[in-house]
Amino acid sequence: MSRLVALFDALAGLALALLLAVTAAGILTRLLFDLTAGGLDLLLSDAVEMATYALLITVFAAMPRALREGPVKIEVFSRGWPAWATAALDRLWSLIFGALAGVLVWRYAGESLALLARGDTTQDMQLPLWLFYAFAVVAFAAAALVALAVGLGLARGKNRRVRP
Amino acid sequence: MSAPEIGLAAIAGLLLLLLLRCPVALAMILSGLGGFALLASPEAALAILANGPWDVATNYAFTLVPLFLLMGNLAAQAGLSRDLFAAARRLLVGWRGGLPLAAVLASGGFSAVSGSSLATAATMARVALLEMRAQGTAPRLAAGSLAAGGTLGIMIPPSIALLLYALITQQSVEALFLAGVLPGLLAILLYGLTIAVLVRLRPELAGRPADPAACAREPLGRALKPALPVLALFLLVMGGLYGGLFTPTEAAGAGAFLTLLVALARGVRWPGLRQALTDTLGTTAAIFLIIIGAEIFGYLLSVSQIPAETVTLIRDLGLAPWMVLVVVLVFFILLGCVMDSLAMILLTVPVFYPLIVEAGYDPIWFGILAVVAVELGLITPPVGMNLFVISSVAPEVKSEEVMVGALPFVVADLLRLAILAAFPIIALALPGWFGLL
Repeated sequence: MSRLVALFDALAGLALALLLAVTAAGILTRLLFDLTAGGLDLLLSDAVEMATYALLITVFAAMPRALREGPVKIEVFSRGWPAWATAALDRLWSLIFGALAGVLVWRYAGESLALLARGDTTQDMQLPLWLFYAFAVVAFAAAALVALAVGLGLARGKNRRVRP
Repeated sequence: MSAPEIGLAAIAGLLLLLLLRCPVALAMILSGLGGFALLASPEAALAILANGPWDVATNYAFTLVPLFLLMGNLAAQAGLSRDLFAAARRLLVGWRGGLPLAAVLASGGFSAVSGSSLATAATMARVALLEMRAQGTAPRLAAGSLAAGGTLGIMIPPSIALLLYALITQQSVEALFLAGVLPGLLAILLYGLTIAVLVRLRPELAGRPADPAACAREPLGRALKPALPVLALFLLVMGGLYGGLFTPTEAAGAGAFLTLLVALARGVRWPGLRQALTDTLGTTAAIFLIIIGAEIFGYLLSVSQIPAETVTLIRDLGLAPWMVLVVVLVFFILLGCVMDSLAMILLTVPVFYPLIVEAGYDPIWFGILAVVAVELGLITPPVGMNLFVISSVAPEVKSEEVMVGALPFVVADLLRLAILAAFPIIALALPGWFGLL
């Protein structure tokens, strides 16, 4: 499971780097355009769409990590509970997360096939839209595997607290 | 059952799930789906289960979140926190309680490049605790000042909490970021006064004073120089944003990119960059999971008309606007004691926001009050996240001491909340000056 999470981490990291590069390139090309009074037009017309799909890949590829590391939960009420009870509940929630991710795989696979049949593309870059749904299928399949493995005790999850 | 009754039942289900250790995101998804299935149909519920994650992950406005998180993590890898602390310490040399004061001041500085209070608390604790311990600062004062200083990350721009509030309520990110500046500075002032009062009442808390002669050997200008990149980054990002050079997303991208350049110039190489990326991904994943949960639960709230019904109920009760505000803020403070800060914002703002607008209050000002109330939760037991962070960085400090150490700062935050509620101009002056209201 660690390798699977690491693989999707690498994909998410690449997408995040792409998001950063696209945003920075968008600013630089616009500055050049303004400084040369339009003489040097390297403007990235598809920057917003590229950033949007880079975000999608970043977020979905990070889901296996999110489900392995243990999403944010409120533990204050269960501090005095027996360890077996909290462990059983944590496993139950992981299994349900895994099942929901499985449902998403099914829904996105259906959507991906429908888009492939229709030949729909993204608005600006004209990329096949089914590809992004196919990526969602793969990412949520990995997330489902990770969550089920944690739920069944085949992989170790971590309790993690996050952020601001 | 009527739509509002189903909505209320779903909220009850959500609370029950949270009590049972269910992850916040999963609790929102399950209760949202269940309520929606009853109100519409199971097929419609399955449709929103698929649409929720897709809509969140393809929302261009959300690109700011990972970019600002990356900026903070790169700044930490670049050692900017260490330089800020060194500069603040030099600036405050000779002051009684100078080290805890420097920790608060440096936390405020680091907050200007980091949108996360946990990241600010963890980073500054690693830098400052060792020195405070060496100087004999009382562990409870050291831990309390670092936990409180960390909360500045949620208020001083770029703040992820203010960003999420702006996205939920469709308010201007620029206006909210500007509105957070003076309340953030007010927090630094009040935390500083708290430390000054504490060390005056109990001088032993401050530990041994730093040797002024040793510190003064280094000229002030040279000592402050390493802190300049942080100031430059903040001015470039915020100057670009308010000067019309960047959109908010571009400001986040520019901030992350410039911080990357600073990190590379300071010798950060692949292992450090990978660590910054990994930290960013972990936090991004956790935040987006909650946003997805809130999105799905938000569908239920809209269809069940709970926010509209709540507004009608409050109107029928004939409560004065200030009473509505007090009730909402007290609710925030109490909830903050047991719930994670961002989850709280994502879960409660869609319900309370219409109430506040109906009461005639400014949404930008309310955003600041809401975030200050949420901030309180970060240093209030039993779920004060910053307290946990300090405890994990300094396991030798008893968790009770960390909690006791944070209590004076809780009082300072309550005072700040009252000041901001009484004088909305503190939050609204800068956005008004920039013509953003």
